[in-house]
Amino acid sequence: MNDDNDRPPSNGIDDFDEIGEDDLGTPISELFDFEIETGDEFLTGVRRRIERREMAATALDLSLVNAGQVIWSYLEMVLESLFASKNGAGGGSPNRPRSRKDS
Amino acid sequence: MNRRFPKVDPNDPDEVLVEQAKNAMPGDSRAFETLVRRHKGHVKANCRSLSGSESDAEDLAQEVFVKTYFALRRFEGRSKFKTWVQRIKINHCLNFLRKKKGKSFLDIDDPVMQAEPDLRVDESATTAAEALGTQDLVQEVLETLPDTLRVPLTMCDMDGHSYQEIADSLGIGLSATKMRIKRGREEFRRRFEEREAALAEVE
Repeated sequence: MNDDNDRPPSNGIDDFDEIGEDDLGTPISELFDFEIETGDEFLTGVRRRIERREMAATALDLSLVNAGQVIWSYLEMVLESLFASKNGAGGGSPNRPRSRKDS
Repeated sequence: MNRRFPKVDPNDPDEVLVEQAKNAMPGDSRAFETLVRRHKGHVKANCRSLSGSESDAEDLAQEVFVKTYFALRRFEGRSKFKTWVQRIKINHCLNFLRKKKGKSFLDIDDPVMQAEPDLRVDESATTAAEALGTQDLVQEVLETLPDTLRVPLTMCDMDGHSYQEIADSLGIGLSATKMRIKRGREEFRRRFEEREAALAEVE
């Protein structure tokens, strides 16, 4: 199971083979059982941070959608051009320079 | 009255609020905010203890809840919400400490630390004349402890993590974890009593 056998030696300072529960001293949980008073501004801060992240994520999504549209338009153009040249229709885009093979 | 959204009862248990927050309509963060209100005091106190920094505690605690918000849909409820938030908080605070120091905070093997583990003690702090409440005193004393003792001590005695969980989080052995907790308790008590005595003298 998960024990210390695989861990590198730590120069002695942490090496205690067997430490029983009683040797660990009394927990100080009773001193730690508290909360820090936090006002409404804490929640406002959390809200603002979440809104900022969501806006950033939306902006990223939009830019990805735009990029996707550009790539898709380009692919459409290439496919259209290939399809047209395969069908011998004069070769896709009317602006495409005619090669020797076309004539 | 908000008729669009279903009712959120602030007295509902965490599990109910978590489900409501997960299924909330866009723009309805009431259930999540109720959870934040319920746990913010403890999370902030814990962030302060873990980081040893009062000024960073609010930032850290807010970020913990932001992370919680965006991860909420993946929370399957196999542990309690509080335990799950504790895990997020521990990871976030440990990362903060690592970044702050520019290296791993687990530097108990560092020769300097071995020679003088109390290097970070600000002795002048013990002469402050102001009267402090117990909570402030606890935090103040905690902040004088080195990270290597303060972090496992906080995880154990404040958050109730098991020794194995602490060992796993810190990437150290089980016996090393126990030793640090033992030393942390001893050192904390010693400094706490010293500080109390100093304050009593002033008064």
